[in-house]
Amino acid sequence: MSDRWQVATAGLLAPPLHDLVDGTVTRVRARLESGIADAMGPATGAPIDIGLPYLRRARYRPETLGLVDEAFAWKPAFVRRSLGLEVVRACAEGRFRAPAAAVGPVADHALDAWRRTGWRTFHWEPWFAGLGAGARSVVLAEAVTWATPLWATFDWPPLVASTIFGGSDDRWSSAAAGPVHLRGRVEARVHPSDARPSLVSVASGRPGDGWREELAYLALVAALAVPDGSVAARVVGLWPEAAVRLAVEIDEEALVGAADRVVDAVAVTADIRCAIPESDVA
Amino acid sequence: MLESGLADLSPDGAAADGGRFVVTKDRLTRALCCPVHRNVDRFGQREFSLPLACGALVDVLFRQIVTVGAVGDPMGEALEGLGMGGRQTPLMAWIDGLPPADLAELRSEVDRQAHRLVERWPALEPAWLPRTQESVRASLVGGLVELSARVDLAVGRPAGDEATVAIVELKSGARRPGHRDDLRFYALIEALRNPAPPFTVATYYSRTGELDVMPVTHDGLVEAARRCVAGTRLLAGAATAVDDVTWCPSCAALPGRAPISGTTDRAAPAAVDLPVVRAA
Repeated sequence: MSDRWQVATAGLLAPPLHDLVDGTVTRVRARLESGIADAMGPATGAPIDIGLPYLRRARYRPETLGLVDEAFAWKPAFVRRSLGLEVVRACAEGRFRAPAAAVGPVADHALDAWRRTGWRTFHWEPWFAGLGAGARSVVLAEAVTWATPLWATFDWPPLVASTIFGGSDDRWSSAAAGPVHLRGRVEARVHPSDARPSLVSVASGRPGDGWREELAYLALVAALAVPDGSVAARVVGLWPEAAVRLAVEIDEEALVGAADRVVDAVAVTADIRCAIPESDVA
Repeated sequence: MLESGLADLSPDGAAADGGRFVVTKDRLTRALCCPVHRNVDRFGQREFSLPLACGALVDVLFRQIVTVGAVGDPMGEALEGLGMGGRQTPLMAWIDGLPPADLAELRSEVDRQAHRLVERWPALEPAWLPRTQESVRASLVGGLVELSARVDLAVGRPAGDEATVAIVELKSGARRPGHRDDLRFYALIEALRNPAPPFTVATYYSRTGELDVMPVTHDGLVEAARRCVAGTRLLAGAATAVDDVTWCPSCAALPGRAPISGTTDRAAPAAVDLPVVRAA
């Protein structure tokens, strides 16, 4: 096992660097709600669904926020994450040695289960089933290429009992936040029984200068989404294209930074909405 | 060398790429080619041709063979694969509009290369962690310059401490010295973004079955860095040394023009086994 592998894996299991004092989540929530209300101002329009990609667009490419999204159509890039996560899980459970061996059987199993039960675990099963061999191989190849860095960065088999790969997105909204809805999506949650969990996020490209707040945002939404307000110990981000792994330890300051980043994104959106006719807002 | 050679670039010209100069192997090649044919536009001219279409289709089939190990109807499946994701829509339309004779020629060549690939390309051990069309990038000068590539095949543990990664570029056309510049560019990006450089880079020629293997060396990386600095400066509209310019053969033959520099190594292609990579 290489040093980097060991260090990365140990980092997921390390005790939290920061203890959180009572009321942290309550304070951050109040700051977030008041900040959103101020940032929205008189702006109106459709709900603002904020996720990590939206935060990044608001900071780095705000001009794209007012554009109408393309109509949804399945393509390999939309399948690779869910299929890739299932591939990593299958490998972590010891059913396959590596992603390249797992991807075909995992996809076949998903199709078999859908045909047998009608239940779409991944949603893409009917689309995938209708593809020819050439198109299908592209989907499988994309999933392998996506999954391999995640599989190779950590020593997953010892972690599998305490890890959830994928899972439901974290969601938060409140009356005070009005039309703003937050969504957080992580690739893995590693939750040792006696410690706060670590979250793992995989992103494309390279980290921008706001990477700390972006990672902390995932911990913020996860904390807001659960009634007891439990907070992750850290969020580890992988940017495979740049071969970068960064982590942010979560304390109140990190959560406040994430909340402020959300408020900034809302403010940018509100500015755009005030500048263009409501009927044209995406 | 890279940082100091690019430190004086002005960010003004990078607006079209989102505030950074995105440097790819094709852009470098276009920038550093013979001055008669030089093109430092953001994307340059991309004229479709039968060889280009064949290359794109065989790339898709190579990915399919690496991933699932088989091809049924090469042309049909390659077109299916090419159509995924929507990025190749213009090329698909061009192929669709080919006269029957050209389409038959293209189909014949794709079939021929696909069958050779199936016959000759070895099944890769999954523990080598093969991945196809992997996007790689490395930032320089505080993010002002981004070296970017998409490699046809990489094997070995990504981002490891040891040099265990090998990169293979597939070429469906004839062998050219410039292909080694592409390999060195890939090696440079890998060396910049990882603790260890790849241990080897190679071009596989699907038409002939040749595998041109190039070990990654210090001198090779320095050569790639020097070429990268020169090309990036040209792309950015900054002054660069004339020694970094090469003439294409036809232009070099004109009176008063001679090859100035550039890669001329033509090592014999080697038929080698893919290296054993540590199991995951």
